[in-house]
Amino acid sequence: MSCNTPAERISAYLDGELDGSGAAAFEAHLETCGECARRLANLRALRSGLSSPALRAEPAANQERALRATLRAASGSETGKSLASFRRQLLALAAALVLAAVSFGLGQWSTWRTTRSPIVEQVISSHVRSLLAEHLEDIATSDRHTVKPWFEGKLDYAPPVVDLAAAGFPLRGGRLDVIGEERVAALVYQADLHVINLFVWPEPGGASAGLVAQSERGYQLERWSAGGMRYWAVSDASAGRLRAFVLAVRRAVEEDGQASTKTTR
Amino acid sequence: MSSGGDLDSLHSLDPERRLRAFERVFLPHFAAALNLARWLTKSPATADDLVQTAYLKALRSCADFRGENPRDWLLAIVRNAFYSEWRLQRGRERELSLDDLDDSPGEIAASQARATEPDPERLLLLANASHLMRVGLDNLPAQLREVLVLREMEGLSYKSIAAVTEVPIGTVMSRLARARQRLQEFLVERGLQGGVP
Repeated sequence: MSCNTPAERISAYLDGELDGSGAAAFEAHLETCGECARRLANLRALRSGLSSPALRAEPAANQERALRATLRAASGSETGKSLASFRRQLLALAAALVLAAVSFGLGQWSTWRTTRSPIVEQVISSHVRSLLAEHLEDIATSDRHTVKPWFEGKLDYAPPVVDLAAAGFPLRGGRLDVIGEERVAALVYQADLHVINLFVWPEPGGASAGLVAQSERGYQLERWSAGGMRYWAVSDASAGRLRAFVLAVRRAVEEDGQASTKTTR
Repeated sequence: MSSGGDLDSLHSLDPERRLRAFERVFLPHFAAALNLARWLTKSPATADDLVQTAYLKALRSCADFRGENPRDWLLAIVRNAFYSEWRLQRGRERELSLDDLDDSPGEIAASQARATEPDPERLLLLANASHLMRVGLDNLPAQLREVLVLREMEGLSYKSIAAVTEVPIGTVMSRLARARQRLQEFLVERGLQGGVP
């Protein structure tokens, strides 16, 4: 075969995902390359087949009705629960704010702005507390194989502990912390001169959710859910640095998960 | 895309108001969710269960919705519900082999050399034999099948596919190319075995 155009390029051209100059260059190449023209024609043939309505699962009218009924039922039964948990969170928020006010003095307190999510408050106060009290780690070690077993017996779940030294975020250790009423794992990482607290706790229901970044009072926060766990990262490092950290965590946890799924399941 | 009013209502503590906003924002994507679920579970019957599960999860966590593309947000939940529970419970979905996981861009170009390109007109006939296409899709590893379904049946951009499947755009690109190549090889191979045009 004379032409070694990567399949990705032809595929991306078909999808209109090459940038303007890339597309123009490929079109010029198509004029002279029968091989690529044929490969493109074959991708179009596949597209034609895949667009057949016979392959699509179309919802029946009763399916959508059933879904609406399910949602309505769930929404009703969750009312009491969500109000109760809202009250719990309010109490926890009040406790966290009292603690924060004592730590910082009332002068600074008055400049604080309240936010929508009580968890944000708790995560930040937990982070601040960990720095103020010089109680960053219950177990101080950069060895994740020491940190992970340390949580055994202290929590009823095993938080994923990953080694990110190669990515520039050495592990400092871990400690137990409390968010809401839950005992949670706090993993402590170093990012240059900054400390990152990574809180991990199980999420009942376990819907995964993508990254959400937030900035509050000079602290950067990122949260996401994956593999049945809820993660909150907080730091006074820059947003970009924290995002790099979070991406490294997610990648490492996913790789760990794949490795352990193979051995345990 | 949802309006700011819907977004506020989704975060409302009033269940009735929240439910109505939820339905306005997410029910229009029921067909897309169902189709993705059908191709993940490979079964129209269980797809319905998966979609219901996913919608319930979405309703529970709609306070986390921050005005992203609602279709992509919902599809990501469908997909995650499938991988986190469905597959573990039923336990039969084929895992990706190491070869499938190799997302390096050069890999396809190298392997491309062995296959000769079929005649496009013949491939068109094969591709339009829906029963054959269905088997071909079901035989792909889930990670390749899902990108093809999202792209070709739902018309998602690479950016949206990356958001739904939580991988970088480069990975979407190489998985799509690989999925197409595999499907094409499957059709040609089956076509040679006869029966189909």
